Amino acid sequence: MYNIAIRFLNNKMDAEDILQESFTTAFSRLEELQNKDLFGSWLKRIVINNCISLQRKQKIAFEEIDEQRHREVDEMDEGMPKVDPALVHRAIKELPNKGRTVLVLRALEGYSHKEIAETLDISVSTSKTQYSRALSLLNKKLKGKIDVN
Amino acid sequence: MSTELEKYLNSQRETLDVESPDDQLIWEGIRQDLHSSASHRGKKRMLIRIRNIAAAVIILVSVGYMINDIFGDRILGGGVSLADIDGELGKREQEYRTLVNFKLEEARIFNHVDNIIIAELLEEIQKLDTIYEQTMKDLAELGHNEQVIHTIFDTYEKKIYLLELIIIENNKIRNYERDESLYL
Repeated sequence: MYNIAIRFLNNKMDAEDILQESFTTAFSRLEELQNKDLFGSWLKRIVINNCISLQRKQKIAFEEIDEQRHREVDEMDEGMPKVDPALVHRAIKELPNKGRTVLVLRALEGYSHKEIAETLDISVSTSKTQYSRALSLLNKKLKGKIDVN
Repeated sequence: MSTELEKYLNSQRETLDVESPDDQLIWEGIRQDLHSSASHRGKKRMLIRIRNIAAAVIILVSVGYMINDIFGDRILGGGVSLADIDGELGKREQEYRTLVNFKLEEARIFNHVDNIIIAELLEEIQKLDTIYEQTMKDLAELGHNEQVIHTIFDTYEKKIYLLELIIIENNKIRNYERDESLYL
């Protein structure tokens, strides 16, 4: 849960605060949870919602983007080399806030673009655009890191 | 169309969780949050109930540990509890249990039972569980006894400490394995 939060917020203290707040919320609303086996995914949802809510407070706006401008993904057709997961984690955290949020939701948390659009209050095409850009940027960052090391 | 990078992110999702929070600080915060909001609403009884359910849920979420045999129900279940003796002590014990369960969950994720240090730590925990069982028998026999109560909490604290060491050791092994498999 902590790693989800820190990937969203890129700040240790904020992530710890969100984790604490989410556990407190979950524990105090536990009676609302019908199926206790779903506690893990329920808690994860609370963490994600709290992260997004904090981002909103921090005024990270998910503005609409022109759809035509998002065709810039560099496909890694040559395949992914073996990369240290810590490097990938760090590279994700270095992504710009908006793209990072969409990328984390889509690629790591399995949200559909429709769900992302609803969660972040943006259009589906903006979600796709942000995602595509973030993926492209992450790709470049990783290539850079691999080359450097 | 999914790229190689997307496939990587999808398949390596779990390994990307490389950072650890300050658990102690977070749990202390949760404890205080729950306490203050409950007393604010005058729902102390409800708080204890929530904590009990929360602890039970964490146990459920934690099923399937390899170390389950060792930790089992010894420290989590039992006949007599401190809550039967004193409500405040029961509350304190519940907090320790919650923390133990949280640590167990963390220790479970990347557990390396074949590691000699971890094996020794597990052995130590086993000994602690035996002491705990004996102390609970003493509690049932003697009732409110300062020394017995002290031993119970001491056992929890030592167990948490040992679990911390297992987590650190697991992280070390995990980092080593990651470095080994690294192609740059």
